[in-house]
Amino acid sequence: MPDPMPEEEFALLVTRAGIRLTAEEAERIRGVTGHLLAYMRSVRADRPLDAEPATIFRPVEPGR
Amino acid sequence: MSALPGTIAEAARRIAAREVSPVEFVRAALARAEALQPVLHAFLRLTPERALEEARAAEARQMAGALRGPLDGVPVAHKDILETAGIPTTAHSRLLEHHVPRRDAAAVERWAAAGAVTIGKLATHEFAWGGPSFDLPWPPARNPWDPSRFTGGSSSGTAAAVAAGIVLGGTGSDTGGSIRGPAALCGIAGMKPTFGLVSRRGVIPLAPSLDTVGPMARTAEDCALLLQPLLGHDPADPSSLDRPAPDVLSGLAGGVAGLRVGVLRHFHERDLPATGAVAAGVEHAAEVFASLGATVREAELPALSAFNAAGWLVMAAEAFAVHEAWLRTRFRDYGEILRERLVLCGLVSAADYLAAQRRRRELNAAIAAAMQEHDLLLCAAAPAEAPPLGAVPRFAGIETLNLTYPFNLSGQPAITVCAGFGEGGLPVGVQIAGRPFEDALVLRAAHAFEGAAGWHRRRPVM
Repeated sequence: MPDPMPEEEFALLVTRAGIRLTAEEAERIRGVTGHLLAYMRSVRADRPLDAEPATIFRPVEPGR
Repeated sequence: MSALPGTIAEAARRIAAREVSPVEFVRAALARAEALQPVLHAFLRLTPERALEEARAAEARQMAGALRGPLDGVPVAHKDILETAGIPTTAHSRLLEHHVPRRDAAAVERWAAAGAVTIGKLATHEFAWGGPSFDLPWPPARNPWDPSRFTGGSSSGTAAAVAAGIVLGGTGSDTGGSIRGPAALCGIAGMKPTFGLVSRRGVIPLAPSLDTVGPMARTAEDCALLLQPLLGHDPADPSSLDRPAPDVLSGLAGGVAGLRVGVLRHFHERDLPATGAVAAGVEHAAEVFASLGATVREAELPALSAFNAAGWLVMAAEAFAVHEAWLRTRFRDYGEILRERLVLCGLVSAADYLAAQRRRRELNAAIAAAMQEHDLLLCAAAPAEAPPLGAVPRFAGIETLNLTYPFNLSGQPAITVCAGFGEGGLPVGVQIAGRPFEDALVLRAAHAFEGAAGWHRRRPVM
């Protein structure tokens, strides 16, 4: 299990989202944030500054 | 004879030959739905009045020689995230328990226009994501092959109802595998069409850049029959592509001779080790394709974890955007599983989302490159047979990988079909994916596989 998000950061982000958790819920959810952090690291890479921001998605037909 | 036949193709033949009335079929479907509901919980509600009214109209067309096509008079049902006029559409959630839409979703309308008869609304994971949950107004659906087992999700009720022979087809939606996963665990066929080919108007969203509506049925042929009327541009859905509807029926029997099939073994051997039965199902499918004249070779894509990272983050950010207001005001009205997953979603920043979308584009380029070498990709659909209902991880999808994200990210068509049986007689499925807009080829290959392998003929004893 990867290391979870630090407690303070987790609490801050949950508060920012406007959600109130019990202490038990907070610990249970924070317990899996290590996977989330691994995902976040995984999608970041050194890319050219002008890399296409990819905010628009459309399948491309073969040959077009 | 009045018992419901095994497939839509057979039902259509019998209705066209006037061997049986659609009213008899629909009564049989309603009776079976009621009889199995205490065991399977596949339905959130039955709609017998609407069903019998539609069945009588189909019967009138039958007698007048004016049938609308192969779906006319065929009993179907809809996942309860597709809106139905005058009938509650709840997304299996307390939040929408009393939501009664004024209009049918586009997919519901199109099947009705083709004559299909809606007999009810089907269980789903809450808002198509959080399940199986036992703290909602309705229990989760159960697997007809063993009711102590998970159906997969989120199109859980559709998979259960089709596998149990209650309806001949139903709608599903697939954001990260919600058609193909339950199709695998319940031993049926489930098709995720190319993104943008089927309108999502009237469908409660989960993650709009991934959400895809598609058919689930006993066979690939039935999926094709159900998909055809769903295809076509709908200006009411911004994601709907303005292009002619492809014909997925006329070439269905074309076989796979000469096609190049790439087998993604690393998905189930290295990236997410699967059970022996799942691995055997993939090998079996590869052998069947080779025996039918396809060229079968190894294929390679980036690791499954890369697809899951991008897929989960995109889905999480978009799902949080959908649910943000309710999370602030009605947090405790969600079931525990979904609300805790949505809290995780709230931790994803805009920068994370955009990084995931950029990664998505890179991963899609890798798939597109692989598909220059292969006409079709073959891989496992789920890593194991259906687990016990109580053994599904609470944070599935982030604690565990899934095999279906790659083709959600790319938007390309993919189908799951049954490829054998494993532990305890539970089914295993394989995915067959094609290039974007080559839905007809995917269905053709799946149909050829089923014809040669025959697993789709095996039914759960209920």
